[in-house]
Amino acid sequence: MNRRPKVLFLQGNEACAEGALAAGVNFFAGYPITPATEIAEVLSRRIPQNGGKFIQMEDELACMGAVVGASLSGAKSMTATSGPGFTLVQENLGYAAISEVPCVIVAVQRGGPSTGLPTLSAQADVMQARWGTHGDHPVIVLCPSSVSETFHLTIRCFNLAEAYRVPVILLTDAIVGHMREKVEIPDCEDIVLVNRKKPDKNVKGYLPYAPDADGVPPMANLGDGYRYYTSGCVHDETGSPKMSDPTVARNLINRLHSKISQNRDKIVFCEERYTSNAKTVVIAYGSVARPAIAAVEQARNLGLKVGLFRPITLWPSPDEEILKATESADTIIIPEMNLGQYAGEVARIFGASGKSIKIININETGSELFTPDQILGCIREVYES
Amino acid sequence: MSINKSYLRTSEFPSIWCPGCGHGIITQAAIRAIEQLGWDKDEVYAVSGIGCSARTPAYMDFNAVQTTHGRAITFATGMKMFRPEKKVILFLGDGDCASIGGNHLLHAARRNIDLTVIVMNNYIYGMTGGQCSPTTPHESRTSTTVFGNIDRELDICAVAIAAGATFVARSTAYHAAQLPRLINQGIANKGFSLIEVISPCPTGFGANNGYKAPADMYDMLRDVSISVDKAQSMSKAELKGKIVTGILMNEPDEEYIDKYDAMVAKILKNGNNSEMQVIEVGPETGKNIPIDRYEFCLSGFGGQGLILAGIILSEAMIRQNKNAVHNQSYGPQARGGASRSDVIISDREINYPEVTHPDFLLAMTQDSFNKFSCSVKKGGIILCDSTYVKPDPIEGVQCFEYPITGCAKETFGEVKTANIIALGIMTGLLDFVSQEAVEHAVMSRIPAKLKELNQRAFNLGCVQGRQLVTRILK
Repeated sequence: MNRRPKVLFLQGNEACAEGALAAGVNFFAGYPITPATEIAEVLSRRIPQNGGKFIQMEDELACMGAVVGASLSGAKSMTATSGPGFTLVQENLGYAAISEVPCVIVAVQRGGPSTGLPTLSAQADVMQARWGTHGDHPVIVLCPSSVSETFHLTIRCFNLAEAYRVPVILLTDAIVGHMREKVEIPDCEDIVLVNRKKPDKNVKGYLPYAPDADGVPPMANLGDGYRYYTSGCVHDETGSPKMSDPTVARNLINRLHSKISQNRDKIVFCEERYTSNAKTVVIAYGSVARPAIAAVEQARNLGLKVGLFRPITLWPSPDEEILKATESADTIIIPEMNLGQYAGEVARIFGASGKSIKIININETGSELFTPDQILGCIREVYES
Repeated sequence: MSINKSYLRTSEFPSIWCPGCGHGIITQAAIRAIEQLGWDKDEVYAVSGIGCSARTPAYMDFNAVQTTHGRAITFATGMKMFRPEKKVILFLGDGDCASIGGNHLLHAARRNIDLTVIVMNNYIYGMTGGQCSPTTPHESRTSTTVFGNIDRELDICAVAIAAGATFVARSTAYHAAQLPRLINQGIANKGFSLIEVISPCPTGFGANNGYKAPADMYDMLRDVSISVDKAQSMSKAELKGKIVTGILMNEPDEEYIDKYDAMVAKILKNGNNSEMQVIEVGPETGKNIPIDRYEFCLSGFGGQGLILAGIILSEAMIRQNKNAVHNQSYGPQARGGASRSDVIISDREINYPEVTHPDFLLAMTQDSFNKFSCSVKKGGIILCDSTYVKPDPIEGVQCFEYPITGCAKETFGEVKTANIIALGIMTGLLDFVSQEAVEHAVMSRIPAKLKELNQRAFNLGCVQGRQLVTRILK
């Protein structure tokens, strides 16, 4: 069979839109914002031709409301935004988390806070992606380093959202979003898609929030005969709000988290290079992983025992993977375009494990991507000290 | 008058509403209206926000969704867009609809999307303990306006009409007999409909404003209500303090999703397909010269087509089976500001994606020459558009000059061909760039009617590029 992949030269944002189309997106609500706008522009042209619905809403609060409403009705739905818009998305992202509505949110990071550096890159929303909405909520966050990976991870975001009934965030940045690279788009038959589990035919006995063994309740689309009541309140298995019984709240919040933790092996992805005997491990994600890889390659050429760990899934944290990748290491270098949002998480991982390790965090808040030389310089300092 | 109990979700009873609350009357009226229309319960979406009104869908055996505060219209917009065959009815409170959700009300009305909004206006945030809302009458007392409300009240119906709602009506919980008819008409309108129903809140509003018993509030609603017909002949002064009831707006217009569908039908008929450009890889590997890493910086001002030139160059190199990364930067102006288009070429994976020391600089303005020429690698090349640039010599860098823009103007009468001429010169100058690959890449990016012109511009550039090399060699 001749199913050669199509080769395209795309911006990261365009690749995101292509990935969403490959994943079967059929509802998109958007609002213009730099540096994410291209995603809405591409999908405003492509979704109508594919039989789906595109709408430009009045703000990002409305985008996320429409995304949740469409998904409840059966859509594969998505929105795309950046910093300040991502903040507005958070309100209804929390609704999606508690009422278990699959959906994908793309956040193309720019410098903040507030209007910040609207056209320039940052990794300023690592913590907003995890904890942006109030309450102890589950979330999955994937972080691409290249245009090609943006395409593939967008598909994976949809698959994870559908499999675990959870909002999934694709956390890219202005560098990856606006850079152009080669993307090989596989034939659609070679792309694996996951769709939400449907309940059995027993309409009368349907409990919308009764989980299967994997912790995930089968989901009936609104209007398909299973008339139920859903809300953003803590609820029992019928969906009915139950505030009076503390065990209902405990059970629900625990299950929302355990459905992610019990399936983490299917959710957590990372890339490792030369970690097996590394004395120093560079941990980098998103666009920053690129100069980090270049620096590690150069360091290896100089005979330095340096490895690279790249979390592709930022949340849930790859605790076990990071501990394993740093087994032979005494130093970790974390370059990131913020003031240490992920370094704090890595410190938590080591604090919880009891293993002591030196963590060096190098930070950039002026929007300039680290050069390989900057990171190599840090690696050399470690070796010389 | 009893209602069909099969429409109730009795598992959620008793209701949370206080004795004397008008919300039960409105719920009953909505169920009657839906029953009269004979709809299958699976076809109805009942949607609400947060507050006393928001419990309404819980008591109805439809597809019931209680959303977040103020956002019900946005959820409903997504639902209706995706399942236009469903009937979507919203039960909102006054604060929910007109304060926190006011923006969404405006834009749903503007679109004329087929939603029916029933506003249960009780002048108060009831569930949180009776604070003033945007509809709390001026000078009324609430738990946050104990000295009297200094805000003016909002006329939700007038706002909905101004924003473009095609059916707007008002009534009160006292008018229980009139309500199902109004709701029925609102639902029947294919477009954005809003029915405001004044609903007594004896607990949160009445007790603070001189209504001793719940029934007093119903008497008040009876006494101050004026039909829309009667109101027409009354002066503004006479209407002060009155509630005008009945249909205030009924002018059906084209519905939003119908328009969307018509747009899609038109696109599909015209075959307007905007798929991304597919690149063939490997056809032009004839001159397969290995490249470890080669960096281009194409610089000038916005409007010179440098970003397109960078994309074309990258696509040509992909045709030659190389990897390519392209970056662009420009000022906030769409045209005329500084513009820079960077391309990195390699046979290997390209990790660091930025150009710091280009091997090749194209300088199309004096500013860009001044700014970037010193960063060019030793042994690198600068190509200047001598129409604009008078280069200073840079040690260890070979500098070529050609009046690119002047040539575009004089030879082709079209300054926009300058970027393609420049690409041609670059192709002629650089042995690893295949002329066929760039030509293919140019042609696949240029609209049909400009192909011939750009073909000539590219050919001229290639010839000039080769001549520049020959001159140097001599």
